[in-house]
Amino acid sequence: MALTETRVAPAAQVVAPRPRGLGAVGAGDHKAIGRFFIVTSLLFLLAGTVSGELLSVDRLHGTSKTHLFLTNDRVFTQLFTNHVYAGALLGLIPLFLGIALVVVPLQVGARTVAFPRAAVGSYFAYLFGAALYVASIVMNGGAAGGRAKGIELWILALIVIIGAVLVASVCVATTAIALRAPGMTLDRVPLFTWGMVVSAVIWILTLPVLVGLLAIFYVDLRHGRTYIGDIGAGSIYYRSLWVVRQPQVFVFAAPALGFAGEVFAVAARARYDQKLMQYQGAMINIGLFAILGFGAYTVNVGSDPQRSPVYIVMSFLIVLPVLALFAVAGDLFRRGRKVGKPQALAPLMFAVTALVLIIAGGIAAAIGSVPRAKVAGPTLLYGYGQANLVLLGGIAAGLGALYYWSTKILGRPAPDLPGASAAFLVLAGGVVFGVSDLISGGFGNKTQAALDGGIKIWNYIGAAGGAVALLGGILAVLTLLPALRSRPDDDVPADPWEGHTLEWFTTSPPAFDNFVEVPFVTSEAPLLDRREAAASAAGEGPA
Amino acid sequence: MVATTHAGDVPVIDPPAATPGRPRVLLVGTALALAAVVMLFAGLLALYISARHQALSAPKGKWFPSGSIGLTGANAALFSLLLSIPMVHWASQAVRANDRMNTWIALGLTAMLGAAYINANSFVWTNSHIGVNKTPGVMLYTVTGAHVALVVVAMVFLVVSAFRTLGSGNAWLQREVVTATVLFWDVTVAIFGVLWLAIYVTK
Repeated sequence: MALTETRVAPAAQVVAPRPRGLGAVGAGDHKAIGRFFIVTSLLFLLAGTVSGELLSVDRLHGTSKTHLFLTNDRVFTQLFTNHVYAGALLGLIPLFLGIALVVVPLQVGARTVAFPRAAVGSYFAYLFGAALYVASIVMNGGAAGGRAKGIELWILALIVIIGAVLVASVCVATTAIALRAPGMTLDRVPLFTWGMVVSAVIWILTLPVLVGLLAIFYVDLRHGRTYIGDIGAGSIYYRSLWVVRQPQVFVFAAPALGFAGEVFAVAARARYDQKLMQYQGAMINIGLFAILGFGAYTVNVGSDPQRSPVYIVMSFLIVLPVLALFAVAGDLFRRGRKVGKPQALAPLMFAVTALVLIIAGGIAAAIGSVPRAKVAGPTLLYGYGQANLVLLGGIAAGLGALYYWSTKILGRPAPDLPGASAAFLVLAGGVVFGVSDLISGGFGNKTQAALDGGIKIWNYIGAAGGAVALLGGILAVLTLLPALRSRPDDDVPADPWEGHTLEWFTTSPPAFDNFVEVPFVTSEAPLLDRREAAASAAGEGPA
Repeated sequence: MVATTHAGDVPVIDPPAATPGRPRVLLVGTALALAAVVMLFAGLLALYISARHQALSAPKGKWFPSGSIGLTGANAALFSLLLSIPMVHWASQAVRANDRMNTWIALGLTAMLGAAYINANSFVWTNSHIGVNKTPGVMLYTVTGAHVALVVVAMVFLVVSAFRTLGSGNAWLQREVVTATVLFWDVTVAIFGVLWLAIYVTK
């Protein structure tokens, strides 16, 4: 049995008065910075998913010439680019970073995040970039915009946003690498933290390539336009599309695996089997998934998917780590049945939703990568459906993380049953939405570059699925809102799930400097060790 | 995992795992930031080489017009940066020896050579006959311009380092800041070495 050398019980920890709102951000409180990231990113996720639903409704008729209500092709393309960029770069990555800024320092037993001022700066840079982004869209900019100044502003906005995301990624990764509690070796790092480290590293290694491309676009756009050509031709949009397509799109959802791996163990009330090295296996799977999502090498491919053997092999392998994680989860729940019923229903449902959607996206990627596949693809619409599945998987994981850590992030527990219902809606709607686009794009759209078209009936089904998924997402956020109204005198449990990792050792909400005393860690589940030691001591005499 | 056994009423606990050596926060952060910088230039260079290859593959295709860009200025820029390497490592050694004066001198000389590099680059830009309204010009000025921006950032890092050393009662305590600066500067110079070969020598 493992033990942690701890002297202070959670109940004995003292909650220091903590600054609130912007004051907390100014003080470099990583929890406040993370919360600001989360709220802003949720707004952009809403904008991105609403854009996606508008697109679905607009192409219901399934012809490439007649849009239902967006009569301008350029507006249609702008909505599409807004959907993918707002969803991925302004929504999903900042959402994960926001959660990580709150949770990672707590999980590794750090008193704050590494470079807190840089983290504050990254939030305000992100906010500034997001404002520029909105302004550029309003002034007919965007990747397929019609006004050169607007496109220039859009490029600058993306560069600022990516810069902010990279700084926040450095802060999160450095915290996990350099500020871990005594005894927490790298193989004992909690799975969510591990997922964030590998994701942050892959973001650090791939997003700068997009920055380089955008810098070239910017210079060319201002002088001569010999590289990108006519701005109306959508060259910028096609050349930068690799960022939200396979394999790069998987990188955005990589933290979902870490979250799921962590929730599975806690929900099952079981520990990863150490004899079978299940924990290390889960870590390897998460790392492998992120590496297989490395897509910067396709920067020169443009809108056509890469048909190289590397691309095909990576597309087939990407599903395996997720399946392996599911297999380990099955074993955890089998062993956990002896202890009690599964708990943390809402986070568990969101974790399952995330993995199912990512697996569906991975299978679609594998089919689409076969050069002679009969699905006429991958066409743009097929790739769109595949990317939507993966991104929705990431969003589901992000929402699930907000439920799981609601006492740490928001200050109060989130309701379990409405959360589980919301997760179910996201799962059902997401699968229908993504698979409909795959069928519509794979069998009904023979034009590589056209997003519209497809098969009329599947377009209708897809739009309905998208609406259900959107409803699920909105329901999830709405049920989280009451948890935001925490008061200092609220009696919030420090550890509502009987968690395994250090964040549950401190109070809810955590004190300004997180811990009164940081325990010595001797395994990957230090709090479970404590409980087992206490039970053992109670059964066998005083320790 | 630590095994626990009981000898009578007294639990015997195996000693906990050894505390891992903590890597230094600023160095880790700098290394991660440098990974992003390296990938930025790898991406830029990949796009440059791809565009150049495309241009040269076309019938009668050419990249830079002959004689439009000389090596003199580029060599001056390279030698400025190469000279700065021993200077910045001198700063590193000096701060380890708690020699504040030598640290300042070395950091100052490094910054001066950085300024010389910017001067040499502006000479290259002024004397090249390549318009920014053509793809080769777009690529040349974006890639080299990005590197000049990187050198400016590195110089700011030098200044911060110098002020930290100046403000600290014990310069030795600031060795991590100076070491991170040295790492940043070394990578900045290495990147220019690659650019010099790929752009100015290969043309």
